Amino acid sequence: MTSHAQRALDSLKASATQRAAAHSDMTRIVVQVGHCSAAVGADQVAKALASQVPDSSYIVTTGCDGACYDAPRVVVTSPDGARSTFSGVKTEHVGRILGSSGLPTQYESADPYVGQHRIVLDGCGEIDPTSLDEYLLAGGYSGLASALAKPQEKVIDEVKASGLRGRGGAYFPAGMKWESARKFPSPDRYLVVNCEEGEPGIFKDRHLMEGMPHRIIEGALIAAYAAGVHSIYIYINAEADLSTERMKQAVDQAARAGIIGEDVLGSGYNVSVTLRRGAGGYVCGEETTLLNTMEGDRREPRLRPPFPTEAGLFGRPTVINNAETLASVPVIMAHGAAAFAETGSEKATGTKVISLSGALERPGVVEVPMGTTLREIVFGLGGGIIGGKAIAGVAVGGPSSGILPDSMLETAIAPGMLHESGVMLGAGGVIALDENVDVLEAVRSLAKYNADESCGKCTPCREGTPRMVDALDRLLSGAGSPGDLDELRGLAEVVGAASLCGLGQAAGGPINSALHFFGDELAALAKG
Amino acid sequence: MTTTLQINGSDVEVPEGSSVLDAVNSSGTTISQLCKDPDMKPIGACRTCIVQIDGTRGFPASCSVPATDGMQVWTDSEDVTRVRRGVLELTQAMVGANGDGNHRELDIAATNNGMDSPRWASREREPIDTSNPVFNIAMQDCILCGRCAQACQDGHQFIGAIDMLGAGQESRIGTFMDLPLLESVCTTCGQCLSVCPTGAIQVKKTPTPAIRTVKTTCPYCGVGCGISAKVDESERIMEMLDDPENQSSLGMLCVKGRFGYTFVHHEDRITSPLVRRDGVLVPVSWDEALDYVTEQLARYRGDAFATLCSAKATNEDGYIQQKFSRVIMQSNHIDHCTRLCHSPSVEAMLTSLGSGATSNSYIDYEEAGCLVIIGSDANSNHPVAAARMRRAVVERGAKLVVINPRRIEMCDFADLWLRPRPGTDVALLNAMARVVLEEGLADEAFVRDRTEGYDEWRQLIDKYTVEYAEGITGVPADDIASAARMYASPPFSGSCLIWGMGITQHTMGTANAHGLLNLAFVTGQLGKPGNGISPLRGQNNVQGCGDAGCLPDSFPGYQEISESSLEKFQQAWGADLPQEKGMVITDVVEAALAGRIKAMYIVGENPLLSEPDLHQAKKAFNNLEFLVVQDIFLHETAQIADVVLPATTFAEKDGTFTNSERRVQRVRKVIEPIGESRPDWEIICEMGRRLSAKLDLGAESEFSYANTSEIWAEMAALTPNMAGISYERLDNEGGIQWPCPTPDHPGTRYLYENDFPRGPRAKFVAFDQGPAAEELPTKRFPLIMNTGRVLYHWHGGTITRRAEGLLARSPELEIAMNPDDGERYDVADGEWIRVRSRRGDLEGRVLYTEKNRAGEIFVPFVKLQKHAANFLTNAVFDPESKIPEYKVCAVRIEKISTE
Amino acid sequence: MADRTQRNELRATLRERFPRERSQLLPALQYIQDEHGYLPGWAMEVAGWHLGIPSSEVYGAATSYTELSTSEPASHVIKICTGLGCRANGSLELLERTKQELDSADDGNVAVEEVPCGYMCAVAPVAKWDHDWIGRATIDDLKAIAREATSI
Ligand SMILES: Nc1nc2c(c(=O)[nH]1)N[C@H]1C(S)=C(S)[C@@H](COP(=O)(O)OP(=O)(O)OC[C@H]3O[C@@H](n4cnc5c(=O)[nH]c(N)nc54)[C@H](O)[C@@H]3O)O[C@H]1N2
Ligand SMILES: Nc1nc2c(c(=O)[nH]1)N[C@H]1C(S)=C(S)[C@@H](COP(=O)(O)OP(=O)(O)OC[C@H]3O[C@@H](n4cnc5c(=O)[nH]c(N)nc54)[C@H](O)[C@@H]3O)O[C@H]1N2
Ligand SMILES: Cc1cc2nc3c(=O)[nH]c(=O)nc-3n(C[C@H](O)[C@H](O)[C@H](O)COP(=O)(O)O)c2cc1C
Ligand code: SF4
Ligand code: SF4
Ligand code: SF4
Ligand code: SF4
Ligand code: SF4
Ligand code: FES
Ligand code: FES
Ligand SMILES: [Mo]
Repeated sequence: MTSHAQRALDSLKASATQRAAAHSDMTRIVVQVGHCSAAVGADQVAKALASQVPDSSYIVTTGCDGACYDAPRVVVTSPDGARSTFSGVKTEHVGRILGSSGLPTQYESADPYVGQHRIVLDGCGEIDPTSLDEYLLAGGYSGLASALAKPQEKVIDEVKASGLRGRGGAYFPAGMKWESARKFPSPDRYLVVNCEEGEPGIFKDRHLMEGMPHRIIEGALIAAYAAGVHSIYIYINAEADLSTERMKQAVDQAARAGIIGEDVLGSGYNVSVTLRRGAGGYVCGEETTLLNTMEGDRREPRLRPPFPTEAGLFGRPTVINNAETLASVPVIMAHGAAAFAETGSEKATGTKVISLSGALERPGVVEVPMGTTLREIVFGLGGGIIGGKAIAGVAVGGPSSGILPDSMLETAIAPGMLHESGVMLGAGGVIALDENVDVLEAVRSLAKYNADESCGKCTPCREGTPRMVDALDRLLSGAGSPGDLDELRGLAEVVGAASLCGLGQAAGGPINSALHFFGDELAALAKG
Repeated sequence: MTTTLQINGSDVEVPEGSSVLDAVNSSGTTISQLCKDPDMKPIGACRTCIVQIDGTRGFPASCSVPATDGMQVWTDSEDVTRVRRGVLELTQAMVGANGDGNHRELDIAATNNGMDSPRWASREREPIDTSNPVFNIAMQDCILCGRCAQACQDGHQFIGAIDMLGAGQESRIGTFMDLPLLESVCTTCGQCLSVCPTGAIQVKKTPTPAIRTVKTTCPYCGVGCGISAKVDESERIMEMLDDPENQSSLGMLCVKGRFGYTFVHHEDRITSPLVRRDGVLVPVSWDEALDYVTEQLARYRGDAFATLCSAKATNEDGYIQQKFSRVIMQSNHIDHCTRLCHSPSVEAMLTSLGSGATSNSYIDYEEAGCLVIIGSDANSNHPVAAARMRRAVVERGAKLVVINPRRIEMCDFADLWLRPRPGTDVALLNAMARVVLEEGLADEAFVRDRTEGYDEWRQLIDKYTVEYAEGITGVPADDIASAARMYASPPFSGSCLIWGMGITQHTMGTANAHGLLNLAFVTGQLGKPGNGISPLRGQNNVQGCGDAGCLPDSFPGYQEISESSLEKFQQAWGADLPQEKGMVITDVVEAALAGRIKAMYIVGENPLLSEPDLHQAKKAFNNLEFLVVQDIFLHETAQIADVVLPATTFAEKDGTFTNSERRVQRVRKVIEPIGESRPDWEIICEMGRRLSAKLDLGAESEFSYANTSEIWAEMAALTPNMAGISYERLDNEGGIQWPCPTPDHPGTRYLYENDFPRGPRAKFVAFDQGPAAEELPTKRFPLIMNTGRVLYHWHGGTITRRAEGLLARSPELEIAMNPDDGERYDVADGEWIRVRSRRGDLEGRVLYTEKNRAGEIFVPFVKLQKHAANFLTNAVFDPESKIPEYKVCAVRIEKISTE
Repeated sequence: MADRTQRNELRATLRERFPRERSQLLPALQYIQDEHGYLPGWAMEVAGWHLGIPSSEVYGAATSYTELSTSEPASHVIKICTGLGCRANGSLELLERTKQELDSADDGNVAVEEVPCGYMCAVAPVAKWDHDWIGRATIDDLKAIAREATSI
């Protein structure tokens, strides 16, 4: 028999289908507008199209599909299904795209999806993020419906079985986190969706919020239901205005449709969703700092214990999950843990959304199975170094991680450490450096970033990170001595071992990877 | 329950809930711990307390890890030692190059870890803040541990003058907008300084090394904070510390307690007896002085003699003085400053309850769901109790209602601030009670089973609708209603009524107090934890002074003068005692003017600054034939005395003070008496023996004691409420709250759980709102002058003018005035002006402030640059309690032509 | 320094927009910054009153967030991203040129600053003119915009 939730969902879909019928015999013109494609004119293009669109067509503004290198992109689909993609579109192209007759003249572009496995990103750049209907018709919220039909324990078991781990960088098993919050006795609990994305080189959460907001919300609702949470906070980076706009629209729509609020989809489950904006800084994304900022305190981490799952927001048990983590949940509920676990490697299931940038032919946002090698990512999806130049190294996992030389490109991406020197996948930032970039300068800039972002609360990080930069500067300026290498090694250890939060604990990473992989270069400098 | 774990391989047992650091400390191992204050929550910033714990990765900070059974902790493994040294190197390099070279806890940590000079030069830091006259804040010595900010905030004081500012390398301790400390809300309480591990916050002149420390009790206000005095080898008190074990102050102090002690060593101390010879007071020997006093007083026994006891002196001093007056001088004209203070509260509570004390304890403020603070400026006058009130609001979310015509600091924390016209509280309180009844918020059971006089009262207050009250008080009807609701139905626990001089010092003082009591009765906010009624007692020992019987109408323990009590005390003291109740001080002053009172013995009070209408008061005291003043300074009253006897301060004697929560606490001798001064009880005893001998009353033995504990024992034996308290217990257990009837009784946190001293029922007493005040504004005197206190001065200032730190913080008489009045009377902010009433005038500096409503100025009654408010105040009295109307008189402002 | 009416107005607005809870501090400060372009002292004080937070703690929090500013900004700000992604696409050169040709912060006009990342690394190099982001930025783009907005 079908559950209340399923029935409620079906009727929502039914009316969505009716409304969709109105467009069935029209040409669909998709303009992909994300925060960065907008920065290269996508919003202008959208305006221009809107002003000239013939009655036979309708314009849909979506998020992007991840092919940033081709942005702005426009995809035109005629009623018969014929599809043409336009890349690097400028306002002056609009006329030609619409063509005199209103039918498009062709402009093919390489299919960016080749080599990807899109679960989380599925539909990004295709369906209208501001339309609940389109998400429903794409199968949206069926994961929620099936979750609501199950007891909470079952939902948690399913997610545990899927092997889903946090995508925010720490890769903690999601199901276990929900369970411990749920088990901890308390009158109320919270779920915080971490959309702070303050790590340099990462832009996938924005991409997702802009392109597929409902998927994050659906995942959040499932997590909240499972963990016994009745109020969800979505915490979005201070700068991410477009993300906020699209998330807000999605939340309002879901609320109006009875997917958020009292008696969700007739299941009897109640939940509220509140949006909050951050106020900047890498450490803002650190979960306990995020809680402090939400409670009106200084932007500093809290001591652990107690852990958020015991005493988090307002001292209540709190689940904190990354947006991508939650966006992976609906598919698990809709198609089962096994289906999810099929992708990826045995030690790490599912996919990872990678933010690809640097001196690449095809930078952008891609989703690949766990276990994919860096070479496939950089040379396969990334199209290799611009102009076929030599690669100098890849910065993986941001300032908390480090830089790998090309000799390490066979490394397969996996949760946690990719190399004992401290290089890790983190939130999945991959930045390719070509020969024009001095790797040690790059290391220095990561170290400097950590020093600048240190919140200042604890001594080792606040005092140690700048001293590491000083030592590097001495070396890079030619005033270095072997003593500086020992000082670097020592400081990296102290800062890493004694610091209060993850920022400091990982701040030695770039130094350590440099000492390990680029030791000779450093030694050369040390000789002066 | 306890937890057992291993520190460096050996078992340690600690109470449950201890941290690993607690365990390490109790194991005797020394480990650096720069940001963890013993009395505050862990901050986890310095990372020098890191340890290695088997099974845990990395090196956690032991201060923030709970100890669990079977834990294996290593403080000295090679790895953790190396890393800790690394952290200390980084810490040392913050202060290494500059500073005063002594970095206290940091230096000790460095030495313990075998480190010498810093590894790096320290970076540029913010300039030193020297704005506060008492201490500096020097970032160049600061390791950003955060303890000071914690102490200023939820760690202790709930003031929030300073906080950690900025981020990363720019992190710093500072005030709002990085202003100088002096321009912040800093109260100079010194809590920050007391926790600073490096001396970055430090008093301006570094204290000399101490040779001993003595625990005693603060001599200033009724909160009764614990202090420990540090004495250097020149036998001077060089530093005053807080006492974390004290149950009233929990390790807190305010500026007076921490920095106000220096009056003890002030050069103005009277060091030998003085006798007036041809119009001038000249030093004489004790024998000479006492012979003279004996011979004189012998002539004034009975009704011509009156005495004023000191609420600053000890219980023992007070007990002896009233005994002296009754047994030797045969006079019940005994009183003390409570008459000018809480007499209306005491009056009302005696009528309605049968006892005149605060019903609850400071801890009840912390546990209450709603606090109503009316006519009290607790932040400046009961600072540490106020901190505990703020804790209730900030930490536990208690509702706070402030009722005060003036915007006091506490309003910053209030959910609701009612601003009645002065002298209209009766109407306000009656209306609140009416709301309670109308909205069914009354505690019917309490009213039915535990009160009487309800019906008459109900009738009288019936006309006090909120609208009617709004007309009288000027407080919006809705606010009156919501205040009533908050008080009657707090979000959790109970509600506390807390009041002060704004209620009592009016011609309607007793009516006001009854208004408050009625409100407590009708809502049943009495006799449970977290509720109760609190007239905040003022002087350090004003509670004790009354307890000890320094009252015209009752013996120690409020045993009213009656046949039975007379019987009892004549028995005990082996003497006939005067039968008639005596006169209260305000009547005594009139009687002196009329010549009926001829001789007075004034101990530790300064009526010629504290009485209203001083010109008139001075006439009265001048009219006396013989005046003996016993004090520590030669104040205005002493200057017109025939004999002045040098008393010691609290620091030079033993005894006990009883604070506002009825807690009897030890006062311990810290240093030898200064000059020839002697403790009050000794002086009085000697006078007693001499007079007894001269008049051969055979009472010498009644005035012979080896020490103060003998005096206490005698008093306790005669006072059922204190019977269970002994010096021995006080020394072992710390302060004890009366009632404490038996030696095994723990003392009493709150009163009236089941019944009342007057019987099973409390009494509603109805009052109508009368005229707001005797003297209201007119064309010639268009402004209302409200007098009271400021944080940094004590009453007339006899003591605080002699404590540099306090004087420096408040050197001039400030006339608080709304800018609109400034414009209206064309006086500028900071201008030096004259204020005149029908009786006198004063000069002071204008302080523009929104805190005062236009038409009402506020002047503290401290005397500065010869100017004092009591030359202007009005000697009219509340008929029931005889308290003067200090809070309202009509004045005008006069410009002073500046040449 | 703001006058009484300005304070009262703000207090009224805060009262209706934000409940009197400490957790509303950041939203309140963000609102004020949107209104004034930065956080004036008097406004932080008012926020403190309304939310029942000591002004020092309001200031302590405000100064800990990189996105909040307690001082008046220059009339125009150009931010050039110098994160790795952009470095690999020549952002250091762009920064140099921009400083040489457009920086006039001294006369309060255009200030040139670095940002560690604009979070659109895939369209590097990235710059920001006041509130608008510019991908694949060139010195000519920036000069054009600057010319439009100011009159250098
Ligand atoms: N620093 C310092 N502390 C002291 C003292 C001191 O001299 N200096 N003295 C101690 C002594 S002895 C005492 S008794 C206490 C006194 O402590 P408080 O009672 O707090 O002292 P006051 O400042 O006299 O008055 C308190 C408040 O009453 C308000 N008020 C005036 N008229 C009215 C009115 O009509 N209605 C209402 N509701 N309020 C009104 C005033 O605005 C003032 O804020 O302080 C004790 N503590
Ligand atoms: N205008 C106005 N006038 C007021 C008030 C007001 O609010 N407004 N408040 C009234 C109130 S509440 C009060 S309590 C009175 C206070 O009036 P007073 O009690 O007269 O004021 P104090 O200055 O505290 O007087 C205490 C005296 O005791 C001395 N002393 C200190 N320690 C000792 C000791 O151990 N032994 C002896 N022998 N002497 C010692 C001090 O030197 C000081 O001279 O003022 C009243 N007057
Ligand atoms: C310095 C620092 C910055 C972080 N920034 C982010 C972030 O921007 N987004 C995020 O989701 N997690 C971030 N994290 C990780 C969070 O603390 C937390 O582990 C994560 O949000 C948990 O969600 P997940 O289990 O779904 O990954 C950061 C951690 C550290 C130490
Ligand atoms: S990251 Fe996403 S939003 Fe930004 S340009 Fe690339 S595809 Fe567009
Ligand atoms: S490690 Fe760095 S960021 Fe984390 S608390 Fe310490 S100082 Fe702040
Ligand atoms: S003296 Fe008291 S109020 Fe002033 S900063 Fe220190 S702790 Fe805060
Ligand atoms: S001033 Fe002292 S207490 Fe305050 S942070 Fe600096 S070192 Fe710590
Ligand atoms: S609050 Fe009162 S008792 Fe406590 S230190 Fe201050 S003056 Fe002394
Ligand atoms: S004492 Fe534990 S971190 Fe400072
Ligand atoms: S590195 Fe320039 S936008 Fe990220
Ligand atoms: Mo008093």
